[in-house]
Amino acid sequence: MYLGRSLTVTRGAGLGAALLAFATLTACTAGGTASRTGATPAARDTLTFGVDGTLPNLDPILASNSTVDQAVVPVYDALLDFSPANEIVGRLAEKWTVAPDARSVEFTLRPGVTFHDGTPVTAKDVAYTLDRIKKLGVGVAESVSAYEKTEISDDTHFTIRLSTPSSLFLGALSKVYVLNSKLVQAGAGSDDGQAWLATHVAGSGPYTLASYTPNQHIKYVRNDAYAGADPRIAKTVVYRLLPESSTQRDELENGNIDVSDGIDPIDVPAFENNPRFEAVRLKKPQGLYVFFNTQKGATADRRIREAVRLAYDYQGHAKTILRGFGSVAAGPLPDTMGCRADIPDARQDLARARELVAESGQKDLKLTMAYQQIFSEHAEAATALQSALKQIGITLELKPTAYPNYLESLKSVDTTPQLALLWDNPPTPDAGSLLYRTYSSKFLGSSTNYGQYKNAEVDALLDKAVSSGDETARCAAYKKAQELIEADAATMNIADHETVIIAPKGVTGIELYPAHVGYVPQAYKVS
Amino acid sequence: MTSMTTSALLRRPVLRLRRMPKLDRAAFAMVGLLLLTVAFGPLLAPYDPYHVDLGQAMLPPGAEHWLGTDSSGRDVLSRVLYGARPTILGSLCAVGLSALIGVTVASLAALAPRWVDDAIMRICDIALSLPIMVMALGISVALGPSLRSAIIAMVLSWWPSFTRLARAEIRTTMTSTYVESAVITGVSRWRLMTRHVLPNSLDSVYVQVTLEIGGATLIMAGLSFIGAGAQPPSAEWGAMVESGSRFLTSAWWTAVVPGAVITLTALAFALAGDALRARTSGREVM
Repeated sequence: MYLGRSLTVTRGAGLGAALLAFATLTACTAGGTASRTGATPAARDTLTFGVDGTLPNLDPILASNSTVDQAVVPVYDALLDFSPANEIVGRLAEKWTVAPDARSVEFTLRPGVTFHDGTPVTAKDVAYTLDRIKKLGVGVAESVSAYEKTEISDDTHFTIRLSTPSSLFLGALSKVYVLNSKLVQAGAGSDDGQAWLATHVAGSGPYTLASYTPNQHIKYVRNDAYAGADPRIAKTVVYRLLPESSTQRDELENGNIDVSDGIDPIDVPAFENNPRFEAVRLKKPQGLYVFFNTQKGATADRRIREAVRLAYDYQGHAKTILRGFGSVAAGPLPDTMGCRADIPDARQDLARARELVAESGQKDLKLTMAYQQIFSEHAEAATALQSALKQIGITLELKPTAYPNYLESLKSVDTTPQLALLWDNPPTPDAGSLLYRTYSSKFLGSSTNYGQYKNAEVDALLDKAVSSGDETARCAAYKKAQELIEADAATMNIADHETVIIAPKGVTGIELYPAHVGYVPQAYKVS
Repeated sequence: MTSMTTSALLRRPVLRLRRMPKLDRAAFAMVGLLLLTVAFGPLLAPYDPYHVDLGQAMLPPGAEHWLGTDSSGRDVLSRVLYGARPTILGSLCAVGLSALIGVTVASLAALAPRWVDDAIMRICDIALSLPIMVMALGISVALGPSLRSAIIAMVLSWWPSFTRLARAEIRTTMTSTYVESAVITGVSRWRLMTRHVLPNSLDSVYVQVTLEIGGATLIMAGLSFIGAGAQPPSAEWGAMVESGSRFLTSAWWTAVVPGAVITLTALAFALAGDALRARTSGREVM
């Protein structure tokens, strides 16, 4: 999973009486938030977005991080992308054909597309981009690990060869942003342009970079030379990095930002009732899970895992913790994805949970759960699970963990937490993109098989699906694998998320682009 | 004699109470009530303060839940009653330990050669220059955030102020004629300190302790508020304000109730400290 968010505590410090004074003051002024009425919406030249997270780097190879992805989406183009209807559509690519053995893909580029400096986009640039990813082996490299080489026929025709058959490769190209090879090589130095690309852009996207201050703001200007440029999109787009939900709320109210997707659900109704704004609810490719250490300790016992799953109040989570902005999970895949097996919603059954604990023979069981305390959903869910488990005789100790430390702990079964509460975002809407990296034993000890899960039957099904060119057969294998994973109670699937994008009235085109967790500003039409 | 020792004060409590101004009486009553809450609060709590019931979340104050419920459906009154222990006991611990260390170091400084005294005082100066919040954050990173880390941080940054206070008092007492007489009669250093000097030097330390408990409660709550103190689901008051602060617009009681209790506690101890100081410094002539 990748969370492009700050993992440091940035809450402001206030003390005692000051707290109370603040509390009282805010409580007294509350309710006034929605009362302000603005002028009638007019077409605007600039859209300012509040972005939740930290952004030290603009290198598109790091687009596996959702904050980096939404920062490079306006200025780069990938070969392909997923449409809001979950279908693969061409961006730089005009045509593509997957070989029947799923070991190569033939591409034709859209003619006449140029980079921001006027250089045409050619097959050479695609080859450079993919070779660079393979060489550096970071960020999106894992999702295109099957890449072997690019064979160039001419400027607009080329074939990508894969070392192993992979049906996931095509979808993964939606996060491979094509670099202007000449420009990068000129500024490259000895690190393949990593330092240069951290603060510069070498893309062909519908916007160009105007200015960038790491972790503070980015300004984009519309690229009118863009092939198929849409005159209805804003001339200038600004991202302001505001990790605090309450800051985003205040800035939005005061007109300092126009668009926000980081508003705490508790504050959303105030904006829904505000005539200046429109609140668009979108499904989000994100779920909340508890991953069990399936190999070691008490959680290696399926009955204990099932008991923990049955103890939790899922309805309460969706209704109270998510305040209705989400739904109870059904199976290991978020509901934005294709090829989901028919698995019923997770449910609470304390009586059965107690039976299972008794059957397992465990007495006075103590479990430890790692969680990221800085996220309020995690903190509330952790407390709720702790209280629920107490009712079935299990003591749950909560261990606040920073995300990088958690990833480090996954390197060995011994250090993997017994339970870990985690958001997970599928890399692409393709079911395999999440299932393969999370449940295939090939990824044991890597940072993606969170539960150290191993089941030979699931392995075989996933391998078969990933190497199959036949979509129907692939989907059937994915569904069967999900059923087995569910039967193993490998993961506690808690909730699928929704996001709310608050934007000024009159802005249209706000849709879910399932390969991207954040904004896609080139889709937002202001007039 | 215009000032009296605290032990003398305690000997005639009833008499003192009758003559006490109303505000002081209220402050002492409040402190008494808070200490009773520390002792018996959990027995009085109507609900389990850790029982999450998401279906009962954010109920406003009413007949069933007198102070409402929080975002996880836990009873706020029960949590406030339970929270007295970590918050007030934690503060008492921090201030008590600081005073103990402070007085011990001051006694050593007073008995030791001049250069040791100087060295100790310079160490105090350095320690006093470190802001408590910065120190606490550092310690909570090193030891992991917890109530214990918060107490350690507070003791580390607080003992020097007690050392300074006690040292000044001890120095004054040492010049008294009865101490000089004791020295001449040849009593040991230990006996001199414990029987003659300390009992007559510690009044201002007692007052300071009472005064500081209020401040310590604020800092303890503040540390929990910024995530460096007590951890969820602990019912510590500062942590309760923190988790409730998100819901100020929709469920004010989740933050305002523990916030008000913190304020009242700080106020009660500050007023009680003031009253005690007035008595020991001789504004009231006995």
